[in-house]
Amino acid sequence: MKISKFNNLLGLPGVVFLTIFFLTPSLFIFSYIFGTRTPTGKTSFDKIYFDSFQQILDFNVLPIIIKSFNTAVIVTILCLLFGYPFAYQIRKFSNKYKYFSLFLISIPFLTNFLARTYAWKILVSKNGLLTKLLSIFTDTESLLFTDFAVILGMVYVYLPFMILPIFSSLENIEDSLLESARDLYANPFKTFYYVTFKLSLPGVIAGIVLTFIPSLGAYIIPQILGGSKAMYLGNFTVLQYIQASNWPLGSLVSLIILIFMAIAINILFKFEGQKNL
Amino acid sequence: MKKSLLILLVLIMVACSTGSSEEAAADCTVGSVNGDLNLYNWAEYIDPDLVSEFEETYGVSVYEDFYTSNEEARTKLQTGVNAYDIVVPSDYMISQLIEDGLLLELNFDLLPNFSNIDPDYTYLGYDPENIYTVPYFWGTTGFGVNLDALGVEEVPNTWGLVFDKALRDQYGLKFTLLDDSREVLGAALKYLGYSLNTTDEAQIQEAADLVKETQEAIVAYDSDQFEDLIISGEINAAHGWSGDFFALFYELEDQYEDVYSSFVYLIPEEGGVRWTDAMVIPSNASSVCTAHTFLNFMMDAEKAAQNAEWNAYATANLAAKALIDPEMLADESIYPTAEVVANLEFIADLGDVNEVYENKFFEAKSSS
Amino acid sequence: MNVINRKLGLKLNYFFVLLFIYLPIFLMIALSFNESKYFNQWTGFTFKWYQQLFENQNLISAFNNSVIVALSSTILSIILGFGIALFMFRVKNKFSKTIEKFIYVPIVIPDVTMAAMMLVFFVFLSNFIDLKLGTLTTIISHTAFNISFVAVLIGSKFTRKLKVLEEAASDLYANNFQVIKHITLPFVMPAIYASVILSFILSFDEVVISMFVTGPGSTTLPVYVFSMIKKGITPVVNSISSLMLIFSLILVSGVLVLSGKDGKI
Repeated sequence: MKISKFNNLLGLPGVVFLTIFFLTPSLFIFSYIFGTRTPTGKTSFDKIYFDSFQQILDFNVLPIIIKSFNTAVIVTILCLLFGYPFAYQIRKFSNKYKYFSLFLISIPFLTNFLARTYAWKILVSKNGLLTKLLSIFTDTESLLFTDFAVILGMVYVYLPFMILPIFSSLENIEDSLLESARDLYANPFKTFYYVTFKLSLPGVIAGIVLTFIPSLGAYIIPQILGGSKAMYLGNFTVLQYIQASNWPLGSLVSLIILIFMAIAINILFKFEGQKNL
Repeated sequence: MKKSLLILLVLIMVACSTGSSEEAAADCTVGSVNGDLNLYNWAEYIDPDLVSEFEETYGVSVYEDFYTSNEEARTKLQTGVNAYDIVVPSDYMISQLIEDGLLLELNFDLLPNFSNIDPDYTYLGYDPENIYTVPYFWGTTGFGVNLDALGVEEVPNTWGLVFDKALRDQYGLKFTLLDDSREVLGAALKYLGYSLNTTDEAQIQEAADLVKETQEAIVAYDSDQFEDLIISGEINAAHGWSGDFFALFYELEDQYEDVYSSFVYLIPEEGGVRWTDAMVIPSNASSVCTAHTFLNFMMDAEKAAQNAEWNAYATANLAAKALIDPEMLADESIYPTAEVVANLEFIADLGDVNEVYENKFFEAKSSS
Repeated sequence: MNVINRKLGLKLNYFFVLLFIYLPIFLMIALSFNESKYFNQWTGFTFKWYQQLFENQNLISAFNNSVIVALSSTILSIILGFGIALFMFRVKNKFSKTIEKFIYVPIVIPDVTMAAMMLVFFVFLSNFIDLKLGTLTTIISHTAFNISFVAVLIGSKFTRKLKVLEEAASDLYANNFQVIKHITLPFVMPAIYASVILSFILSFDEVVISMFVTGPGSTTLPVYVFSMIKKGITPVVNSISSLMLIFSLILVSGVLVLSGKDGKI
């Protein structure tokens, strides 16, 4: 059939490009896992090594994985906590304010995140506003280079990633649904839980994935705000590639991140499926 | 017909362009250039005015990329996919680069100014026949302290300021350490009375454990912004390289009556690191003529003196020394006496043991 | 009472979040005009830091590189991504279903992992061809993730309505090119505009991947700024960050205006 051949051809260049320049590189990463680092930092493949696996145990990488995971979870929860009500509030606005709010929240979504992280760095350094504010309550002199700063920095950068998908799915809920719930004598809590929240779940899941994954693999933010004392998966990986020249180990950690990510995507698709039911 | 001609043309061009760098070096003449210069250097290590002057004099562009550790430079060079023309690594790293065949043998016919170099800095251990390197600067690694912020007139000259909790608390020290395994473990080893080139794993472990205990007092591991952090008050002391501190002091000179009574650069009595940096040309460099011309340009006595006064490190250029401000030459922190120098060690390439240092440092760094 | 509290709570949260997000930005922009080098004292209004920016050759060349890379990867991504989107929309077999799933991978993959992948790949390639890291490798890497964004974005605009229109057109003996030119393209145009701008921004802002795959002379702006930011807090960094923000702001307005009134990005 002429049409389907043509359609297949349409997709071909793109698929070929991705196969060569995305799929293949990811396979290479996997192969590096089985090499080993020579004393001068090259990678040797003369036989199959399992050094990288051993090193994960030797180097105590487990605490780093746990720390990154915990941080990502905290960041995601915080984003959800503040992001969901925000999206909910926007939805309640009339059109004019709705689009204005959307505009306001999209700007940080798409503006340079280096610049925003840097703005945050100013706030948390010794003479920064946030530090000064907090020093009223506690005894902190500077927030820079603390885990707290890193977490807040990530929330700062990823919050819009949580808000936008949630808003998107909330928007899809027709008011008539809510009205019918109320007509059926459901109280506000029940309405919210059974109608609004459940229907917004796809957006929530998307938001969680879009916040959790980048947090897990974050490099720039911990580097700028954490001062390389803070070891997260992201800067650990970069360290292995650039500084330690230990590409097998770096690749293994990259694989671990990829696995987390694959699990997250699968969960995303499972929920997407449920939505259609 | 046209298509195959084109392909042939491309093939010919490709074949021609992959001529070896050695052959290219033989084709250069003194002061010739064959393309723009890709310079891979430590940050703030070369006077920008000199770079501009080179660009104007020879009509080429100089692209600068920066690294903050020798290991980073080595990784980039090893991948073989970066076309740097000049790199400025430190002593022990040069040995490794030579071993891996990553450096080009220099054509000294193109470097008449090489006679300006201090003979004490040629034919050193990392390049015994001196065929790959042109010495650049040398210096020390020590501990800079903001006496003004601590409210004292002086502090004891010891690494105990870093590693001894009692001393730290006494002065209220908040500091950063260099993000460098050999430097940090080296300081710890010296404090413990060992050589900073030891291959004894037990000693290295002891040093790493000491660093682990110090973690709570370390604000950050940083090799590129410690001067700014001192200025902003985030820290009141820092582990760093000599010249970086002097650049800092010069900058603060207009703010303080006598900068030298408010800030001090210590080379602790237990000893520490002395290092030499040299300029090298990677074996896959493309603008080999330009690179040689650049090396020659930087070795000119006046230019080297200008550079030395700008970055406040100790020059390895004897002819330049005669032209440097005597006050700077007399400053023992920049040009330490032979006595002090005798107490310092070069970082040596330890082959397999290098990895041990990296790994132990990493462990110590990430423990909390 | 409960209802009022909840409503108040929501509104408070709304303002708090906006404040949280915008305060640092305004602060930074304000500081970029500060005469003093230190941000705890305001000593006067000045443009000098911006002036310094424009005299910085390395910065200008980095900016140019970023623009070239962003433009190139955008054009490439749009062409390739549009093709994939159409393919996923029109063909419904096992292969296209797999593509639908895997197309999300470049979107969600952390840039550190992707950066490492691309570096390893290029190093491997360099064994066979004389490859050096530079503008080309950067363009390829950026396109690799941009394609997915484009495909998903354009794909989201493909609805049953479009399918009906397309079928109607082909029933009326329009061939494939005509269908695409007269029906499909106009229908998804808002998404294409949005994709162009999104692609451009994503490429322009990309730090980590660029860090790994650019070479000397082809440094991009974010990589350059990143090293400046690590170096310390100076007003020059404030200026460049402010400019980058304003630049993005203009582009973002474009995204919103062009992605249609339904507000779906």
